[in-house]
Amino acid sequence: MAGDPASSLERELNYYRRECNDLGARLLRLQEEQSQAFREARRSRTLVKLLREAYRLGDVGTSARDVGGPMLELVVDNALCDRAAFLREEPCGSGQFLIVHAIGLPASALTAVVAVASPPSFFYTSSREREEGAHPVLAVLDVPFVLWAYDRATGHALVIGNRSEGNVNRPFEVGDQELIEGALSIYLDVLNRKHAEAQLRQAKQMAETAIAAKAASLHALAEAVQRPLEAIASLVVRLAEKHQSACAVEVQRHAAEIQAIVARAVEAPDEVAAPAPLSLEWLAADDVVRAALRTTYADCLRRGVEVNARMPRRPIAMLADQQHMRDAVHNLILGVLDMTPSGGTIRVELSRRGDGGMELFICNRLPGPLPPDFPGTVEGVRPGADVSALVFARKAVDAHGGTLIFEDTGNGLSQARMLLPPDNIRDIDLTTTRPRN
Amino acid sequence: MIQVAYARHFEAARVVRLCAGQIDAPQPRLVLAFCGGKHAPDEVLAQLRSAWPDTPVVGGSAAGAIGYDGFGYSGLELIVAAFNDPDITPRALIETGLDNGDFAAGERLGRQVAAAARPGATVLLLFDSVAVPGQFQLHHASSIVEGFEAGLQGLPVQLIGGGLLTDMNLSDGWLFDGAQVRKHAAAALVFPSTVAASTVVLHGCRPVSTFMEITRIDGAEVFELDHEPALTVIERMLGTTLGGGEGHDLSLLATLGQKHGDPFAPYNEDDYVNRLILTSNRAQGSITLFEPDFRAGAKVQIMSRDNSLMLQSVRDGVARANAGIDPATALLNIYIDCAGRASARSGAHLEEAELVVKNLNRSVPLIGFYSGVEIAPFEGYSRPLDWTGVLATLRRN
Repeated sequence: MAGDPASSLERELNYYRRECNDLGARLLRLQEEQSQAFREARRSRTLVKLLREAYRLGDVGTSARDVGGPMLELVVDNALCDRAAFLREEPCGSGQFLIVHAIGLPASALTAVVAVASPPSFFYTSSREREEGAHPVLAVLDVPFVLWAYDRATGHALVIGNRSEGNVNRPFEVGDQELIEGALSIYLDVLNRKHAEAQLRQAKQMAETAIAAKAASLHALAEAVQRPLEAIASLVVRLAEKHQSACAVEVQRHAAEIQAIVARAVEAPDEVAAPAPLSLEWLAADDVVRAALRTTYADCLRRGVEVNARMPRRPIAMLADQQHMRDAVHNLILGVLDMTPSGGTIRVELSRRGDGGMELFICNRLPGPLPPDFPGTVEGVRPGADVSALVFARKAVDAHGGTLIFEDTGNGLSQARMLLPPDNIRDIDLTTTRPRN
Repeated sequence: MIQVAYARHFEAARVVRLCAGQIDAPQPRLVLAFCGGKHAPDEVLAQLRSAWPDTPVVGGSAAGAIGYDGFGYSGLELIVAAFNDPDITPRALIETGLDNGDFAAGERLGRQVAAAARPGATVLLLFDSVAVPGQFQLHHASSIVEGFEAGLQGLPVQLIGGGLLTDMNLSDGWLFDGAQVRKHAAAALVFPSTVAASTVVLHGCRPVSTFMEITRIDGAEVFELDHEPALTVIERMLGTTLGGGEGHDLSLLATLGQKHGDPFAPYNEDDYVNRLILTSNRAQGSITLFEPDFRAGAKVQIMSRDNSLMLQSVRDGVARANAGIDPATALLNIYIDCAGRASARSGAHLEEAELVVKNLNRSVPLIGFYSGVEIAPFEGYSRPLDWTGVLATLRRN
């Protein structure tokens, strides 16, 4: 009855009870939705976290073989799965997988070979989408719910799995493809990086061994030639004083340079044997070429070969190491000289290319048919040529970001073409001081 | 002096080495160890015994570990506390056979303690939480504690403790009994009378319903609330279906709470004993709780896990614990943290364990682990709690 106070109170109480429960239910759902959103956000952060941690791991001194365990630990920690394993197909394409790293599996699992014929690149199971029969991937971790990624190109696979599905281990779904493939991809990246680092270390070690051997032989050689060289140098000094000719002065200058090199080779053979780092500066390109021409002039004269040089009308500057570049040009001229019989001509042309780069073209012109006793051509380089000098030239040009092309036209003509990129070349501002040489 | 070390590594040998390297006592009198469940227990124990050959190792599996140097629940963590001073080293008493009855095993353990402990002694109770691995069947803490209390035969002790799990999905659990790995076992670490403990319980649940009466219950399985199928009531509140097809999902969305004291007094988190819902049974319309200690006729409320309340409770509780710490006498902080409170399960935007680690007085070492159930003093006696963090500070009397 509406007028009965007890009945009215009971009705009011029921009203508040209903409202209380409705509000409580809403609060409960809101709370759960919020929790669910945080859990999903956490999951979506997994790859980012994995990426950051994995590359940090890649930076520390772990070997390629040892990187899998810590990587798997990261995967497990972030994906919160019960079991996980990295597998390697051996041989690639065979469908026979070795478990190379595992967490949550007994140690004996690491010796097992798992057969997964026609391995899928992505695969998952959940209670909603059960597989017909037992998929071979399930045998890897021996749990019903798995998430699998396989990289056919390298034969590597990653699988994570759970015994059950719940709030932490929510069912795997197609949207997890990014997670599992991303994790595998990060692992492969770090693995490749580790392999590259190992190769680099090996190469460095070999180079250091070679430099040490070179330094030892250089030291022995330098010691052997030092005394006779000093005698020759003093003779040259006397000759230069007596004749006062430009040629004698040039010879004296070179003798002094050789003496200095030999003395350094005796005192510090390691430094001489090791490739010196480049010391880049803007140089007048024609000055560099002219300096190289001067150092080859005597040889050309002795061999009866004429040299014609042509420089650009508008001078250009190159960003280069003066010593390395001068030696490279020197070696190239001598290389062509080796291919040129007496009476021939060497043409040296420096020019600016259409793309803004620089080209130095060196070629020879023969006086007639090659003499029958002149060395023949073998695969573009004649046996008579100083191969190590040409190798040095190529390395020097490479170090400057340039390209060196050797051409043998087949009729006895030899050509060397040095190209430097536009970034290393600029015009010389004629209103200011020329770059030093 | 007690030293604590924490480490995480996927190799058992390595994780033990990392921890052992931080402890500078060559021969501790006892090592308390909690180990992530992805490690092989025999291997971890062998490595621990190799590091300290004549030292008993007590502890067991944990869903995760919490220390000042780190915390996590990947299943690869290890945390150890090394007791070096005989005056504060607990005596470890072991009882097996939980699989033959939780109450009986608890009672036997209680009798052992009664014979060894002095009145008021502090006791740390650890037990294997999982009765049937992978089946969501638990060793019930309430039965063990009831048996334990019965075995004490009136001896007053200050009991704290936790259930051991291998992971958050209640897959398994195991215990280190000093020398071996045990299943279905419990350990009571009885501290000398020189050691006392003060305890703070950190909560995080809020009532979201009116009082309801449990009208039908059998053990931990609640069939009816206010004469309605319990599952119907819960699902109506949640607006969702529990348990998927098999009813084995851990819902953990809501808990049932029993308020002690005046039911109409203003909300106080310390008045509640909450029980998580473990599974549901659609055919029976029932829900199964973590513990079988609610009775027919009890008035309960549906409780919502409230993450912001949980974090605030941690801040307040840690502040209370710090206020009670006297650095001159404090020995060790023990944090027994319900695994469900971890961010991965609760969805909290902050890890509440991190708040504990950051805010706790660091002059006192900390050993913590993620547990299945927590045991702490409540209204004059100790009882199991769900969805709580129990922060105990041991001190020298």
